[in-house]
Amino acid sequence: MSNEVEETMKRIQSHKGVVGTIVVNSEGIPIKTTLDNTTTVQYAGLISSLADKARSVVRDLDPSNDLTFLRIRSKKHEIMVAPDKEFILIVVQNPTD
Amino acid sequence: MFTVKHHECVGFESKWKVKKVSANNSCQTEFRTTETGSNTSERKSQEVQTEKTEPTQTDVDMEKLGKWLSKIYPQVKEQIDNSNNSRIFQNYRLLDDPIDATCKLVQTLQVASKGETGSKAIPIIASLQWNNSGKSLAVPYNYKHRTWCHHAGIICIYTLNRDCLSDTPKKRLSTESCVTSIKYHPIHSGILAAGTFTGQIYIWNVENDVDPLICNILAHDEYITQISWMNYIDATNSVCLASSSTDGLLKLWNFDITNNILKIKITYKIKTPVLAKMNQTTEVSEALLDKGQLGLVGFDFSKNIPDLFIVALEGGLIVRCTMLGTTQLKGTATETYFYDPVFKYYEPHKGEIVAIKFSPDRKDLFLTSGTDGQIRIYRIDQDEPAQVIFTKSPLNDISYIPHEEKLVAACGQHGTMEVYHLISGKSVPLSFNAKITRSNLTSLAVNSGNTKFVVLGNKNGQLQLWSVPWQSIEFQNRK
Repeated sequence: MSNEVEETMKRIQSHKGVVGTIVVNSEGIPIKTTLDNTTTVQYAGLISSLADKARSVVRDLDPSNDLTFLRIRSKKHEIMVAPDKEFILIVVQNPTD
Repeated sequence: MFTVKHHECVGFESKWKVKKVSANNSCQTEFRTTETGSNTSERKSQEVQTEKTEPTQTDVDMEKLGKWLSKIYPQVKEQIDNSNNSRIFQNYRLLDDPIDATCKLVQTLQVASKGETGSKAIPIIASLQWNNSGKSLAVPYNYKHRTWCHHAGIICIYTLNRDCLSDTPKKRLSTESCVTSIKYHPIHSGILAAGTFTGQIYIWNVENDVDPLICNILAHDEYITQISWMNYIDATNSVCLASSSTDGLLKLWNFDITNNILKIKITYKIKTPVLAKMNQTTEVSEALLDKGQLGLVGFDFSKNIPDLFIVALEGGLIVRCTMLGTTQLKGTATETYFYDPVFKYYEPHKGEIVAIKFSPDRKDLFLTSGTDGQIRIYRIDQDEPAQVIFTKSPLNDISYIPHEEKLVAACGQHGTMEVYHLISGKSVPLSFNAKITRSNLTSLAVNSGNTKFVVLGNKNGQLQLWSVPWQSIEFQNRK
C-alpha cells in the first residue's frame, strides 16, 4: 500500500513545474517528502498552521462551509495545499512564464 | 617718703663677638608610590546546544494515506494544470516592484546569408509568424525582384525553447518561387499556409516529418500579397483561407483538413471607385494606372462583426467590404463569378499601405500604416481617420500588442523597434540593453503565447529575438 503513496507522489512530481511534494499529518509532522529535510520541516510547520488558520476562517464565516484547497502565489513559487482531517498535501510549484 | 638706696654695682660681661656655630644637616623625603588596579568587566558565557530534530517517524496508516492521495490526486492535477495554463499572472507586477523598462536583445540569428542559394542577392526576411501556441516560428526569406522571380522560396521553422530560439531551423520548407506571405492555422498549430510570388498557395503540416506538403494550387495570376485564415459567416463557422493578390481579387478557400483539399469558395473583386477617391497627391505609377484594376495589398477580417472586412488597395485606398449582400459582377467570362463586396471607401493614404489590421480589443477600430510615414486609426463608421500618428520614418510592419491596447509595436527604416502610444499619438521612448547595428527592418511579430518575446527580421537575412517588458513600458508611459 505504501507503493500507492509513492506512485501518487511520483505522478504529482512529474507534472510540469513541480519542485516538491510534502505530505504532512494533522500535527504538522512531515510523513513523506521529496524535498530536503530543513525545507520540509519548515514548510510542514508553517503551511500546516496556515492551513489550520485558513480553515478556521472559512468555518467562522460559514459553519457549514469547509476549506477544500489553498493556493498561495508568491514571486518565486506557487504553493498548493490540499487540506484534510488527517493529512495535508503540499505541492510547491515554480510558476511558468 | 623718699629714701636713698644704693645698689650694688652690676657688671656685664661684654660680648662683642659672637661665634656662629653651624652644623650640616640633610633630609631626604622618600617617594612612595602605590598602584591599585580595578577592572569592572564581568563576563558570563552561556551556551545552548540546539539539536536538529529529525522528523520523527510517526505511525501512519499508509493504506489510508494511499487512498486519500489517490482520491485527492485528480483535484491536485487539475489545480496544477490550471496554474500552468493560467495567464492570469502574466505581466502581473507588484506596485512597489522596480520598473525595468529595458528591452533586452536575447538572440540574433542569421537565417540566410548572401550567396547561400547561388544568387548574389541579399536575402530579405519576408514575414514572421508564430504559431497559435507560440512555440514555433516560421521565417520565409526572399530577394528583391525587378521583374520575374527566379529564386526558390524557403521557409525556415524555428522552435522556441524556454527562452531562446533553436540555433538551426527545425525544418526547411521549399517552394518554387519566393514566399510573400505565410500564416499558421488558428486551431491546428502544425498547419502552415503560404502564398508565393507566382500566385501559388502551399499548405504544409509541419508536424509531419516525412512529407509535410499537403496542398499546392495555383490561386492567382499575380503575386499573393497576403494570406490569412478567417471564420466564414455560414452556420458551420468553418475556418477558411483568404488570399489577396495584385490581380485585384480576394479569394476565399475551403480547406478540407481530412482530405487535404483546397477548394475555391468565393471570389471577391474589389472595384476601384468611379469617382476618384484616391488622394490627388498620391504618386501612382503609370503602369498602375494603365492596369485599370488596382491590386490588393492587404486585408483583414473582423473577429467581432462576422461579415465585415477591410481591404487596402494599391495607391493607398482603404475599402470597407461586407460578405452579406454582395452583387454578382456581370461580364466575367470565367466559370467562377466575381462578387463585389464594396460597402464604402475611407479617406486614402498618401502613400502605399503596408499593413491594415483590426483592433483586437475594440470592434469598431482598425489601423493602417503606410509608406507616407503615417499610422492611421479609423472608426469603421467614419471616413476620416480618428487618429493620425506621424512616424519617424516609413514603417514596414506594425503589430498590436496583446493585453496592451494603447500601444502598437512597429519596425521600419529607423532600424530599431518602435512603439507608439495610440491615444497620445506619440512615439514611446525605449531603452535597449545592447548596442544594435541599425538595419532596415522588414517584419515584426509578437509571440502570442508569451507576449514579451518579439522577433524582428531585417533586409540582411537576420533575425533578432527581443524580450520586451510591455507592462513596464506602458506603466512608465502612464506616469
